[in-house]
Amino acid sequence: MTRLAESRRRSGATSTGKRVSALAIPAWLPLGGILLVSGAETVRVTGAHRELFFNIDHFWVLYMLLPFVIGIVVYGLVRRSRVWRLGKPIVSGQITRESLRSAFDDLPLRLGRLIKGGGGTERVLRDPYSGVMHLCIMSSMIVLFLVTALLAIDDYIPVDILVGPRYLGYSLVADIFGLVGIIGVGMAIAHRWVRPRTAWLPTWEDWLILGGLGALLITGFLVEGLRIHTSEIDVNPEWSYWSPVGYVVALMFSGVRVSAALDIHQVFWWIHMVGALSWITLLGYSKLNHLILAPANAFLKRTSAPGKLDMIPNIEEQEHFGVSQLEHFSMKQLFELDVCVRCGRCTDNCPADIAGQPLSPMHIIQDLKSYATAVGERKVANLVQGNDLNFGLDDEAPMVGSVVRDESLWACRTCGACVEACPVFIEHVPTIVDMRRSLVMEEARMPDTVQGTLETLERQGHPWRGTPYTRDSWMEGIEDRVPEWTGEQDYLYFVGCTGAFVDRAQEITRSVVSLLREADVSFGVIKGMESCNGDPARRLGHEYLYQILAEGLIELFNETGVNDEQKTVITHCPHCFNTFLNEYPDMGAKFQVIHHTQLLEQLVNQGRLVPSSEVPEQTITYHDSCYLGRHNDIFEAPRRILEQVPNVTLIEMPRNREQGLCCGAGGGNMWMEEQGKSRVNEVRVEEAVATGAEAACTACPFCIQMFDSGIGTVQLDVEDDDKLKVLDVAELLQAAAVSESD
Amino acid sequence: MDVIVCVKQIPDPETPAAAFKVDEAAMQVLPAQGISPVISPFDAQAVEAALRIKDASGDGTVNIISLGPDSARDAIKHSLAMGADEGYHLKDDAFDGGDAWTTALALSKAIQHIGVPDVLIFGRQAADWDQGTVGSIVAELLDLPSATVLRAVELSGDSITVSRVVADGFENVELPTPCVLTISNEFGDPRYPQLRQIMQAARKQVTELTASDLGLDASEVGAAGARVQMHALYQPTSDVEVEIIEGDTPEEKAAGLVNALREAKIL
Repeated sequence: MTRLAESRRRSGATSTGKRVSALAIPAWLPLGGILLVSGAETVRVTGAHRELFFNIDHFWVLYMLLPFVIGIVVYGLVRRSRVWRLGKPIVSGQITRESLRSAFDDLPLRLGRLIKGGGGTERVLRDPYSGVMHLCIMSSMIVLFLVTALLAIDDYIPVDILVGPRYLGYSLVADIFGLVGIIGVGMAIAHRWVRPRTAWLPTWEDWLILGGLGALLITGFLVEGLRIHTSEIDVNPEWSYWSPVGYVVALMFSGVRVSAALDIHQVFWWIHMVGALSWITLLGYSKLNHLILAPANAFLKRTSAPGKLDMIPNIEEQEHFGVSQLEHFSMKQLFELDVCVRCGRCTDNCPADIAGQPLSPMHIIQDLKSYATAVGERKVANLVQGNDLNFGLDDEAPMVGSVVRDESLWACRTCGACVEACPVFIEHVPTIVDMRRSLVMEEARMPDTVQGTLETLERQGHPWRGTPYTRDSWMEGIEDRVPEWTGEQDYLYFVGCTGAFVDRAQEITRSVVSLLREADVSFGVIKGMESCNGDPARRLGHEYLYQILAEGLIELFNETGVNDEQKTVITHCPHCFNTFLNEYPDMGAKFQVIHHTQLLEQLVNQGRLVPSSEVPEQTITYHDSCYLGRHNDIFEAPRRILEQVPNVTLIEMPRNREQGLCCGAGGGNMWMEEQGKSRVNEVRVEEAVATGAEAACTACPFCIQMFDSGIGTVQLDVEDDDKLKVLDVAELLQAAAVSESD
Repeated sequence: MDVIVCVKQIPDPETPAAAFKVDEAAMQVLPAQGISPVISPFDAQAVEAALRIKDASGDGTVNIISLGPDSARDAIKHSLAMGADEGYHLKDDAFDGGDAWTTALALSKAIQHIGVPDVLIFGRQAADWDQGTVGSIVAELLDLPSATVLRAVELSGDSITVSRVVADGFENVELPTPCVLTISNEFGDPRYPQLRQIMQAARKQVTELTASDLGLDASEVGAAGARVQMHALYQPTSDVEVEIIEGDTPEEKAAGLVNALREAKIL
């Protein structure tokens, strides 16, 4: 008992450590209830408290260690930041006012993301199992951290807070969250061990972080239980009920002599404390760093539309095109590599991976991360030693082509499912396209079909090599009903290449024209003179060709009076829509942009289109085009049109809206041969067929073609009449709202 | 090893039929709206072959000659972007209205003007008029051995081994240098220029040569010197009739098809 007597008596508290015994500021709500309950017991519990550093000598060692631990963490992060700083500042080659502004624009949005997405782990919670698991661990760590901090505060201030019922409530909350943490760690281990997802590669990091945390929580309870066993349960048993887990542990030790228990307590106390401090150092050296980096990345994420690709300014003066070396990435892109926690959500949602094709966004990020560790660190060392950046690195395997394989880069649909799914806000798509840019512009290394598409774009101003049609083929026979753009009308209907050169899409073009005429919309079409707005070239990595095409089209728009804030361009294709809306402002565009489904919905709401004719009774499932939906948030307009068509019942596929699966055509894959086990469009058609719907509606001419070709193989043996029909929303609306064929 | 490639700019062969128009009175092909003329695909393959010879030999130059209007410069620039060294543009109103003979004559003079290289390469034919004679005429005019319609070209010391595409297979031939080669589509795809090369090519000067620079009189070239006279140029119309052979089973349909073909005296 001497040691006991020697140990400092303090007001509140716990044995420190981890522990579990304490109450927490963040848990004020549950705590309120607990205080009420404990208040009822006030008479009996007055004076309840715990002794800080009970049974422990030389506790000051901890205080000595703490600055070291913080120093080790900071050193790890600062050291790693030298690799991030190999990258380019966000906008240009130097940190400028402009680059800082772009990193900190739209502060309310960024702070909102920081709070909801970072602190609130909004995206982690979407997956029920992982969400609960993560919430358990995170809440446990936060509460236990605050518990410990509160204890320290209580120790330093002259007033005793943690006494009596407050102490008991504190102890209960701490016990509960310790248990919650153990549950979370158990779920995480089970997730890796019992039912690992295919994309998962648990490594030493996983086991060290989880195993370490689990061990800390368990030793914490052991320390608590031993303290209760040796000092509390016999004296103030009613206090012990408020440390339920510690109480159970104490009972387990009930046969152990107090003197032995005190020795064991000391051993576990030191293991617990030193372990906790060691575990904290993982913050600077493992994916545990996501505690710090993930919220930071939520803040740093671009505020532009997710489907936007950034422009290469002054492209003719660049020393390199796209990214073939680490230092060609932006700082933000290099930073992101370290934010990745290998959760695999990106890959689980990637259409290419789902179809068994050679792309896993997680592996791209992870492989680049390993490369940044191996080669990036050597580049940093070269800089430090005053050598050329790439000194001694000639024999390293090339980053693009070896670390990240060409076929992975080409398999990307730029659909953004990975970006949408990433709980730590990594933007995979710009990183992938940056490397494509290097393949196309720097190395001219690409699949033959991509080369053919780019050549057709260069020569003919559209991507449809071998088309038998001209720009105006779709209006054959209805020329007089297609108003020519005069500059006087409100809307320019931009037909786009697919709407003009692909026969199936020409039908949709005619439907849109018919609807616009029915609703008496003031619109016109630039006959014969349209050219591609450059989207396919840009997605395929040919930024230079994109800029040439975009400059040409903007010039045409300037000459014809389209490029005016008062004018609105209706696009037929979501890809044109995205490019005009999000990317053309960089090229000097001033006009407004609307997708045909948005305008048609307005016209229906205004009563200018009345879907009154009865179309055959049918169940329809709506397929979200990535560039309309996920990239531009237009989920409801097309659905509301469908809902207003009589006899139509709308049902959803399991993957819909933000989680919609790409048709397989995005990112220029419309013009590529797919490699892999199956084709993305077949996977998607199977999902549509599984709903039992008679028709699939969409609002993108690429999706329509991909569905048509997918149905050809998925429903090979199905009678034609029973096959899934594929319609554009405009076609269905035309059937219901235009009385005579126009 | 030094190589010269002669290239021609033509209307894009990918031009959809609906956009292809001729002026029957003027006997000229009208340029299709919005579709740029391109280097003849066989000629791009010829440039590719030349670049591979240069790479294989380890030194030398690849120079490009094209005869044509202002826009033909783009075909030269494209070849330069692929990696060729210098470009020569035979540009003179006197060349207008020429035929294969006058073209070959002007090209052969230009080749002599630049200096006869180790290898002279052409596409097997220009993909617009498809005559396939210019390369052979130039070989005659320069009195050089030639091999036409090649699917493979390989350097073996100072000589060249080639594989010709012939009706019933391939014919492997060895030629001394200097010689004339014409490249067929079996050779394989030409390279896609790197952006940096496109930009460098854009800045490169192309040497322009007129008939008089080559010591040619206006009466020898162009319409005046042409040996082929065009009498008419028109787009043939073809009517297609489709008959669907009905039948309940594949066998019945096949029998119906055989009968129909017999009636049409095709079988």
